[in-house]
Amino acid sequence: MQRPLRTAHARIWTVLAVLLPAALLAVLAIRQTVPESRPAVQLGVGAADEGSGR
Amino acid sequence: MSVKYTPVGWNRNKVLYDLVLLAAVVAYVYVFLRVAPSFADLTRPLDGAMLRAQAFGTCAFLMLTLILCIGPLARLDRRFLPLLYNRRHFGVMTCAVAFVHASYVVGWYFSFSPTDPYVALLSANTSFGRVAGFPFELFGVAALAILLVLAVTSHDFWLAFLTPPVWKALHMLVYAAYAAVVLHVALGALQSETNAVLAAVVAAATVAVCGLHLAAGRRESAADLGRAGGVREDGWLVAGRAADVAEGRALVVPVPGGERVAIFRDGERLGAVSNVCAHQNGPLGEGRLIDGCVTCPWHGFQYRLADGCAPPPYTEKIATYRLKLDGALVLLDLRPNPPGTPVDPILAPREAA
Repeated sequence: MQRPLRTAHARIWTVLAVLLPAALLAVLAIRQTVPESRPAVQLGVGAADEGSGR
Repeated sequence: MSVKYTPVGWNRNKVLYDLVLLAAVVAYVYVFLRVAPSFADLTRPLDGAMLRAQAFGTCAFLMLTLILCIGPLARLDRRFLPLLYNRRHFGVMTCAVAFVHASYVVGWYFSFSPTDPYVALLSANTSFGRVAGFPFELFGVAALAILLVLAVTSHDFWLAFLTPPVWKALHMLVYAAYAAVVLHVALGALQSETNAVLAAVVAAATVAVCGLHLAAGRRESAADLGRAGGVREDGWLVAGRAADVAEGRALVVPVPGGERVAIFRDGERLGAVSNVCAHQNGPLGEGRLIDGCVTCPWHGFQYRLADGCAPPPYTEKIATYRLKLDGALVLLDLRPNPPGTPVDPILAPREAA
């Protein structure tokens, strides 16, 4: 590989190796998660049934 | 290597490579469709089209990750070189898989929209000011557009038309595509995914790709710095000991200015050529002599050691260099000859050197 391309590779990956994991971590850190206390909802059970207490 | 236009120069290796790839994609999608529902969040309805979109989307992400790992792995360990041979087909297949993913997504989310599905895709979400709900689709569109350009220009016709340095620079856009894909997944699927498996896979893939490229880059830098010989007053570079050049292999010598020269041994003779293949700028010095020709480790392009010309009917040429012996030392003339210039090899028996 020619020297300019080797240099470009090195620079690009030096930047990406910092930015990509950092961006990924940041996005994962601030994502909204479902509360653990959320009641389980069974599929196929209608809203009326849920509210009726049966 | 071809002298006329052929859509694909098929051979046994390429057919085998593509069949294995295709089988792997089919197997992955099949297993995903069978296994993923058991990990799904049962508090939300599970739709077949979305499941297929996820299957092809994750497949495309993993394929792109593997493609980006092949280059540095081949630099770090020669055993991975066979994977490099047909990497362009790998890329084209990745583009096709990503396209199927996009088709499912557009078909599912925007088919019933009163607006055109593609207009809706680009304009429905404008929440640029927040992370949750950010229009991550745009990153996916950008990545797919880049992959399409790279797939279309992957043929050797474009390589010859654009010249290897320009073509290589264009195809470095795949790094931007990967960054866009990581953001597409992080801001999209990972925002709603409650299972940690996908997040762990994306994080591991990103770290692996970045780490391998950094490691390969460090090795390249070390190769440039470590073996640089001194330049004598008469302008000849001390390349190394003749005895250090193994039969059929090369001693790769960095020269001032950053390029590298490959000094090959063919029996008792030594010859020097540019380390840069005329095809895709592959590292010729990491290849070997086959039938008296320097053979590129990437795609098998060949050049005669005596004059840097590809054997007929092929027409590629690389620069040659003059050598001379000073005792056991090999000296290299730093001025390259024009590509295809015959140079008399020097006699340097390995045992005597």
